[in-house]
Amino acid sequence: MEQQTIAMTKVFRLEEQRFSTDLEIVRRAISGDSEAFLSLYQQNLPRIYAVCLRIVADKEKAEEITQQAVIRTWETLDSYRGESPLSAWIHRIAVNVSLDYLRSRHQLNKRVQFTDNLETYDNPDPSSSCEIQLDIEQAISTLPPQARAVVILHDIEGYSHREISSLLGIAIGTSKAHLHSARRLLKEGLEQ
Amino acid sequence: MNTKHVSHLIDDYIDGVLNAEDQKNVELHLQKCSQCQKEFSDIQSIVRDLHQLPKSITPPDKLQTAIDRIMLKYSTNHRLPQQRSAKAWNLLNSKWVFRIAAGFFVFIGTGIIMWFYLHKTADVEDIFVQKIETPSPAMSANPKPDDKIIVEIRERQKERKVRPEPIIPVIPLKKDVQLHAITTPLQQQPITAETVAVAQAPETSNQSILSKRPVNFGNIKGKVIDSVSGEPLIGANIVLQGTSIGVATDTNGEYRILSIPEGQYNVKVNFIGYKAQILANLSVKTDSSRQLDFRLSPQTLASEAVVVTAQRPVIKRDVTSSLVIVESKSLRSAQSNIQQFAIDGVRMPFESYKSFNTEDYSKIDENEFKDALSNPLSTFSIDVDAASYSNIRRFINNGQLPPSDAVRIEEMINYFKYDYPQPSDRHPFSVNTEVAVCPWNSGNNLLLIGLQGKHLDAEKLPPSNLVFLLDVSGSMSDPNKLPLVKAAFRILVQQLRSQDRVAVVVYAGNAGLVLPSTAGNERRKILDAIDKLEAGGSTAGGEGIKLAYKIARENFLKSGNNRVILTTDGDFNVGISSEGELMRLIEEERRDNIFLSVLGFGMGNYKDSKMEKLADRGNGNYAYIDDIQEARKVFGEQMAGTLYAIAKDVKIQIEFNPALIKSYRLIGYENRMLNKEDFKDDKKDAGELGAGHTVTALYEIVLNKQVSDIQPIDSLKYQTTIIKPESFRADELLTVKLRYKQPTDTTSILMTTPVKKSIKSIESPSRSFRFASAVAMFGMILRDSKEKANSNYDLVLQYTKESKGIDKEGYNTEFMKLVETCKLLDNRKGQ
Repeated sequence: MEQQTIAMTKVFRLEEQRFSTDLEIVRRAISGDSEAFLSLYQQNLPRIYAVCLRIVADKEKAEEITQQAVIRTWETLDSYRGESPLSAWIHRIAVNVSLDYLRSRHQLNKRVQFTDNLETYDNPDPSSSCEIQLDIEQAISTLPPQARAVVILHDIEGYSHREISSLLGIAIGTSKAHLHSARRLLKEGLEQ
Repeated sequence: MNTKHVSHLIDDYIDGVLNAEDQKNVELHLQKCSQCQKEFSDIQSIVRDLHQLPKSITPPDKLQTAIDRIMLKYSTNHRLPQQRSAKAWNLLNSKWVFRIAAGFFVFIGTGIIMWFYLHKTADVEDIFVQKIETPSPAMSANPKPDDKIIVEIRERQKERKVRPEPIIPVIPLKKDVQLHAITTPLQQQPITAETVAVAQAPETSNQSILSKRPVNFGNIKGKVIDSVSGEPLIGANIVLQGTSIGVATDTNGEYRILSIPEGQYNVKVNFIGYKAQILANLSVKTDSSRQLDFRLSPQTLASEAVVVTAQRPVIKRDVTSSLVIVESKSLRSAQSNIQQFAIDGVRMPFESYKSFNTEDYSKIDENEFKDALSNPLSTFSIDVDAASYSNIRRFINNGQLPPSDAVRIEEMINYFKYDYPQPSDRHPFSVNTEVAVCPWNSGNNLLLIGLQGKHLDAEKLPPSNLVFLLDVSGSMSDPNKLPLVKAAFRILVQQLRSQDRVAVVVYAGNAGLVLPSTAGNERRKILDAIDKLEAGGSTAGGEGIKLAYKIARENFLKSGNNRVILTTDGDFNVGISSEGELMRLIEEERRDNIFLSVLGFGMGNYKDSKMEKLADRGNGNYAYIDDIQEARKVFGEQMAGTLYAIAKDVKIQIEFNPALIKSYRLIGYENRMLNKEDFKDDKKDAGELGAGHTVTALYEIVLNKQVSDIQPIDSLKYQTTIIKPESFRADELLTVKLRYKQPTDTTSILMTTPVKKSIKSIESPSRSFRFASAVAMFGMILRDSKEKANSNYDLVLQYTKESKGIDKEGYNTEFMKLVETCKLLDNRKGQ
């Protein structure tokens, strides 16, 4: 019992230490010394851009959404409590902003019958210009918005169904169903 | 299980989140269904491809630039309260700017249109075209209906989208931000043609506010470290006095204050447990970065007593649901009416709390009054250890009374230095005695025996061969353990000379030599070895001791001081950990004139009993080091005594004159008592006296008021006890007999000092006597001794005050604070 308590305390301290440096970074950013925060953000920017770009599936919009994500991060900086690593927190904000956009568009689509402009989604990154990957990216961008979001979050970003369900406000079962259909649509898309 | 069903499970199967049963079913189905097999391999390859997609995509330069600008804007806005308020003002202002602008535009717009239609003059058309051609994303070339513009502006504010602004040049993100960055909040608002046209008045007034602020900025940066240990201080505050500018140091002890308006500042650095430092009149110049490092020196916190009064009683009415949350460290002093404990939020059965504190103390049975006629001899070994006092101090400073077995009165008394004269004869120490009325019981008398070891000039000390045996097991990782050991070591290294040799052996899991025997003046090399130490692993104490003795033997200095210094929290748990085996090993080495000193560190699983025994067996001393002050005392001021013995196996035997003394009681030294025959036995080990050390022992004695007070012992069958007639005529109360050996000798030398019957009144004893009796009283109160009689905290304080000046290092001032704290803590009856 005692051993266990000590072991747990040690683990807890380690975690606490890691997150407390993140908290410290945020605290300092708020008080004016944003250097550490900026460099952390710059490190994470490619990941943030990637998730925005894939979810939004529109290069122009993705840039706008990424900027929005940055702004929202700054504006909600005070609410960071150090419960998760700062990089994960920043990432999640980007996902949320992208999903917000998707939702608003989704609503719009219902009324206006908007179709995705697929041409704007060109080569995302010259370094990854392997053909199969390009094909997959292309295929992902043609998926229906929700299925797209689920497959990106689950299979690329590694979120669990539980996390996705809370992010998208859908049931876990729905998330699974979306993943199921998204993967099969991708298969079809690639076979064409 | 059909194909359709399995198709739905395949995803979970690939993701590995199926339960065992489903997983088995799917596998069985896959073996026989080729359709599902194909689906499985297709989906698996898709998932694999998805996993391989890059998680990062390099953003285009355009986006990078835009984000840099957002970052710049926010980091400057976030920076200082005064700027934040400027931002608030700007926002407020811009809101009104928009409203006024919109309204004004509507007014002008309709006016112009009307005018345009009425007059149709070329001049007016030019003006209109000029206005609407001002670059603006919001404002298209065609004037819209008025209400729509307002709506659009509001939406724009709501959306807070950031677009590249044509007005602001792109500022690369850099640390020192200039004025234009500060003024950007106003300009960075989406500016439409209307606002540019109409917002002149508020904008100029805003600029006048801005222009009053200093326009140039400089930076300061640096590091804050502990002046003793050199360790970086994390979270120290650096404040520019009189401003709200301040930062805390990071995990490397470094800080950086950016964008300080030009001027003169007083920079204050403070950190709990350290003396605050103020650097006055630092001038900050534009675009310059000043490096300012601080070395803070540790400070004892003399905090004022805080009295916490509870207004509401702890609910006890419904016992089954009442819960008192107690910190583990206060459990020992907890009231007994607590029905249930919660330790760190976990409910615990009442009994289990006892196992929570793993500190070990041997039980002390206090010496009782002994009849001088039947027990005329009192024999004990000296004890120069002072560990108990620092341990008690640790408890009290934690807001808790020490457990009574942790209170060893002789170690408390011997913690302090007394005014005894230096030896004037051939002996290495002087023997001093004093008898006066007992302060806590005026019917009795108190005898003080004080030994003063010869002071040795540090320079003239024989060379030392020191082997440090450092515990670096996992249990030593606390800040008051290994880091304190390192700090203490740094103090010691400063005192080493070229003829001294130091080696360092560590033990944790395995024992290892981290520093081979090195000359004392190679400080860098020694300190480097120490700095690299890190705590981890379990404790192979026994193996470490063996290795340390081996190294000590290899570098043995015949005319020198050969010593193994063990630092530990006493938690030996691997190897020859059986106490008996360890003791035997140490005793063997002692005969080879390699001594052992034990330094105790830390708390929690501090094994006091084991460590003292180790030191006693090794003919060494034992000190408990709880903070850097204590390390300085042991290693700095008392270096000679701690490390260099002037006499060993020092035993004291008192022969009382039963004609004058009825009974006596030795205060403390309970675990140092010897049998009377041990006194002459040179094989019997006893305490060691270091250079400059003092040893003080107190006896409470009861005198015979008249001859009839002498109670004959129950008559023995074979012998009679007769008091010699001359004893009645003699004015000797007792005789102090003392035996010691020179550090390398095997035969003892006897010293005899008779004590005359000259009893000082309660007002006249020396200040050494007063102080020693004050400390003894304090110890008796803490132990709740049945012999404490009239002892109380006020009396302790009074005696301490009267003995002021005795201790030049100011330890008795600290003692007074400790007594005062204790007085507040103690809620036992009768205190």
